[in-house]
Amino acid sequence: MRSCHTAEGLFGAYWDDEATAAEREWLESHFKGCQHCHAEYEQFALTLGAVSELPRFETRPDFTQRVVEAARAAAPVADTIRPALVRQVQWAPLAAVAALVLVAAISAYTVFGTRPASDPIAQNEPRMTASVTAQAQPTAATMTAGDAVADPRITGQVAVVTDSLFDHSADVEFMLEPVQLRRGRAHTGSRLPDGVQGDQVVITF
Amino acid sequence: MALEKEPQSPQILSLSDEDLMARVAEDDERAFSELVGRFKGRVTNLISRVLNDRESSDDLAQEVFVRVFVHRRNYRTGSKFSTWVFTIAANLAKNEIRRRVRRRNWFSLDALTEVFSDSIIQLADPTEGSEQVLEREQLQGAVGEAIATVPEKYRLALVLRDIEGLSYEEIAEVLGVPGGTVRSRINRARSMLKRKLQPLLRKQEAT
Repeated sequence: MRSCHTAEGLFGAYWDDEATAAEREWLESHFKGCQHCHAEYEQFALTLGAVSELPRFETRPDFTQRVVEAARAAAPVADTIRPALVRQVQWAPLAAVAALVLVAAISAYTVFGTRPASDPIAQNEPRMTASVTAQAQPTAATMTAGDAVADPRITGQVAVVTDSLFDHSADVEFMLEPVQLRRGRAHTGSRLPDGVQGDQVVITF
Repeated sequence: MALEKEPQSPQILSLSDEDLMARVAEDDERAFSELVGRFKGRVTNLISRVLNDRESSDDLAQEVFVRVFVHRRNYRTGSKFSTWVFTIAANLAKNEIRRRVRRRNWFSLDALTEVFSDSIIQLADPTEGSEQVLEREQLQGAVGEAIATVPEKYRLALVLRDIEGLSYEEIAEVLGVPGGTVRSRINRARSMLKRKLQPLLRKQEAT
C-alpha cells in the first residue's frame, strides 16, 4: 500500500515530465503490477487532458482599440517614488533642525527654571560663581598669568557670556549640527569635544 | 497612437515582449498596442477560466492592460513581461472572486450554461455530429464548473499550470509563493478535480 501511496504522489511529476528517470522507471514498473494505480493514473490523465482541451476564449475584435483608448484616458502614474515623498525628504533636514532647536529650548527652560523678566542673570550669580570657581581651582595653578587674565573663571568673576540664543553660564552648551537622514530618523552624531559630556538627541519624524 | 487597424512595422513585430515593454515605458503606444495583441488571448482566457465567467472577463482583461500602461514605469527591466502581466491578471481575478463572494453574486447555473454553450458553439468542429457536439459541450461545461468549485488559491495555480502552461517557477513568481507551495497547490487542485470529474469521465469512457 505504501508503494501505491508513493506512486500516487508521483502522478503530477510524471504528467509534467518532471520525474527523474529512476522515478519514471519505478512508476511504470509499478503500473504493470498494480491495476488500481494504473486505473487511477488513467483517470488523472483524462482529467488533465479534459482541462487542457477546454476551448480558448477569443476577445472581441475591437479589444485592442478599446484598451488603448482606455489607457490613454487613464491618469498616468509616474515613478515608484512619488513626488510628494521627494518633497517630504527635501524638507526633512530643515524640520529636524527646527525640532532640535525646539527641544534644546525646552531643555534649557527645564534646567534653568523660570527667571524674573527684569534681570535674568543677576539672581543666578552667587550659585554660578561658586560652581565655576570650584571647577576652575584645580587648574589655576598650572596656568600662566596671561591665561588667568584671559579666562574670566580664574579671576572669580561671574562668567556670563550670552549669545543670541542661549545662556552658557552653567557649562551647558547646545550644539546644533546638520543632521543625516537614515530611514526616517535624524541623527546628530557623537562629535562632542573631549571632556565634554552630553546626551545625543535623536528625533524621529 | 497605433491602433489595431494600422499594421505594425516589421521592427516592432520582431521585438521581444521585454523590449516592447521597455518602449512602452518610454510612452511608445505602438509597442503597447503590439503587446496587447500578443497577450490579450492568454489574459482573457486566464481570467475567464478562473472566474468561470466569459462575459466580464473582457472588461477585467482590459483593466489588466490599462494597469500595465498606467504603471509602465514601474516595470522592472530584465524581468519577464509575461510573469508581470499574469501577476496583475491573477491579482485582479482574485479581487473579483472576493468581491463576488462578498456580494454573494455568483453566476447562476443557467447563466453558466449559456456562457459555455456560446463559446463552445463558436469553436465546434463542423464535421462533428450533433450528438458528439452535445457530449463535448456537456463535458467542457462540467470541467469548467468543476474548476470553478476548486478553492481560489488552488484554482489559480491550476489554471496557470494546466491551461496557460506556465512553469512552476513562473507560477511561484506570479503568486508570490515558494515553488514547493505551488507544487502542493497544483497537486491538491488536480486531485480535487479528478474526484469531481471521475464519475463523468468514467461514463464518457464507457460510451
